[in-house]
Amino acid sequence: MQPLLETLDLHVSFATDQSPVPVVRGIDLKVGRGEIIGLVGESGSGKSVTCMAAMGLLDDNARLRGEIRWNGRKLHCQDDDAMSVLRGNELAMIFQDPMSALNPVQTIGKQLYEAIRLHSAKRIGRSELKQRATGLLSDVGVPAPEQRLKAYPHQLSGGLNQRVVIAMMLAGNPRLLIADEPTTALDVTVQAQIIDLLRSLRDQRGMSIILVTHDLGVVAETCDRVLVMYCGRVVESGPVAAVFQSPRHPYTRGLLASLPRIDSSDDALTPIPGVVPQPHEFGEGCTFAPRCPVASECCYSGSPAQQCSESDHLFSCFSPLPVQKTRAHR
Amino acid sequence: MMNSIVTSETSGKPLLRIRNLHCAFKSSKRCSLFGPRPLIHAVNGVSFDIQPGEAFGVVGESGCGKSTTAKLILNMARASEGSVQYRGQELTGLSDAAWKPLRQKLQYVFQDPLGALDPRMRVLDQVIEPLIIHQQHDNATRRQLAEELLRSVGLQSSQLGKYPHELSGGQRQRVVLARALILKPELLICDEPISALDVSIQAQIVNLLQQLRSEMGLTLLFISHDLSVVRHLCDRVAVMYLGQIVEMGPARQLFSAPRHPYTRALISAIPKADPGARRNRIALIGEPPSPADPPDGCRFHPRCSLATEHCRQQMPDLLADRRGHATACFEARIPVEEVA
Repeated sequence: MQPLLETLDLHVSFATDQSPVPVVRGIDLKVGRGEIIGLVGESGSGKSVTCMAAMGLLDDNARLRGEIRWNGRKLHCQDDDAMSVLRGNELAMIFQDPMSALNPVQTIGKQLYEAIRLHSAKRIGRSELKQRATGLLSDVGVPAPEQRLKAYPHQLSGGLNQRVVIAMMLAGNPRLLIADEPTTALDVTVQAQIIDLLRSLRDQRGMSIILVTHDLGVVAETCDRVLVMYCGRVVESGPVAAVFQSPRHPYTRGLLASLPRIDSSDDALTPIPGVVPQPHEFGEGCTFAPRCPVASECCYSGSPAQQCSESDHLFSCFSPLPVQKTRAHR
Repeated sequence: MMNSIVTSETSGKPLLRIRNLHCAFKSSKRCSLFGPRPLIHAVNGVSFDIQPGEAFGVVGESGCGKSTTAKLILNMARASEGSVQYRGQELTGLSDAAWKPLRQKLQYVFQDPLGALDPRMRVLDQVIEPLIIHQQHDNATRRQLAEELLRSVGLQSSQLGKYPHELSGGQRQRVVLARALILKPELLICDEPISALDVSIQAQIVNLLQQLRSEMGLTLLFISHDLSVVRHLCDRVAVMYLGQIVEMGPARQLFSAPRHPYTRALISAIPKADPGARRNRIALIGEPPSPADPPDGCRFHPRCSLATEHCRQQMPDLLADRRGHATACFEARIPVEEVA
């Protein structure tokens, strides 16, 4: 089946006073219908920029190379008129901080009405607007929705505001939702509620979701497939179960081994040594080589090609870790 | 019967002894345009001891009063009631001058390392500065001590002359740690020290804290919303909810057999990096109520699945069993043989 969103060898760099800064360096991403894809990586890995490119929201100094396809057709991401038809109706995005997506001096109701009107072909009367807005709020689990219509964002908690943003997004009934760290600013019990909500959007509406996060736990509980990004490249991707059970790239294993576990405390943490390099430090070879425990001579001279192990599990490494039947990184 | 209230039964001479600590302040937000500013009870009757050499963790969601507790200990916020004793000396109500020698012994590390560092000062000078303020050693020794410490927290010699903006987040947090440790404190209070860092770097700082603790005999008060890290690092843990401790006990026991319904829900809500793991999530309804308007009775009862009429009317005391595992809940199931 044709993927809903597809990027082919996507490169993004930003023009600066000095040389252009490469941030995304060849990303192949496929999102199928009703699929939840996790994009994980540390800050600076290019996960947000990839999403902003797909939404056509990059700044003017961004240079794109490669192709982004929506439903098999080429997307002209830097053509604002073409994108504004799609944005909201076909693809939508929510961000880490719901307060920055809401207008602080307008009521929740007014902002919801605006979203509903924008996505409706015909004029809608006041009472229907109110009815639809209340419906959207109760769909996303906002308690006492009718009273909330009169509230301002600052009167609601972070979790409720994030629900309001999701409700506004649903007004356009998009087919793909890009959620950029949607739960990072929330407490863990509220995070669990928002994640359940996102999953139910997929289950009930068949929405596809790209979930950008640094939290491997959230990915393990939510996503079907995961892409692990490092310095603008996908170093490993595949079904969540396969990647977590048997990571083949040393970076993925490093990330998993550096997580403390809530259900056992005694293993020592194994951090990844060193720091994430800056874009101007990207060398010829594998960008992870300076921090990699199994790096050899060849890792510094050329970048590894993508290999495939079973069922769609891809990784780019010269000396991949052996396949594990049981969990090895603990 | 189980009625030894936890405050009366800890043995040994604690390094830090906190009793019935309260803090209330007026909210900056008014109820309405000209309405009164509500009184927020951020910390409401918190008591605990920290033994020398111990790592004590405080966990809870935002607004539970964990950071305010730390600030009260350090006199960065004023307690409205209660007592904080450090080695038997009362700290509440001390003048700034009386605090100065104490600041060498009690140090604080914040979440945001960039905010804690002077952007216009080289990192080596920032680590030397506390020694100048407290008039310790001569110039050459200060420099030598600072260089040694910065290297032992994992900075390279070439980085000592750099400015904070030239370092990564993890390196900055190492500098902040060195700045706190140069005075050889006895108690280090860390408030979310790794939350702003990347995952791979978090583990580096956690390991560093563990190493420093064993090398320097540090006592640690570690405040975090990340339960996994606290379990990994701490000996004892207190769980806070709306300004109160709802459960406290040895970390291993508290995390493997949590008793308070809030602790259980909190632990079950943590996403596990294991797609095969069975999810038995205890869903909590709603969000924590505002500390400006806490519910009557047990503060957790509106979100609790076990709540009874009793819970709605009366606030449960924090009661400890023989092993020092304390719970403030009428409905908590405590094994019979554990009852003190």
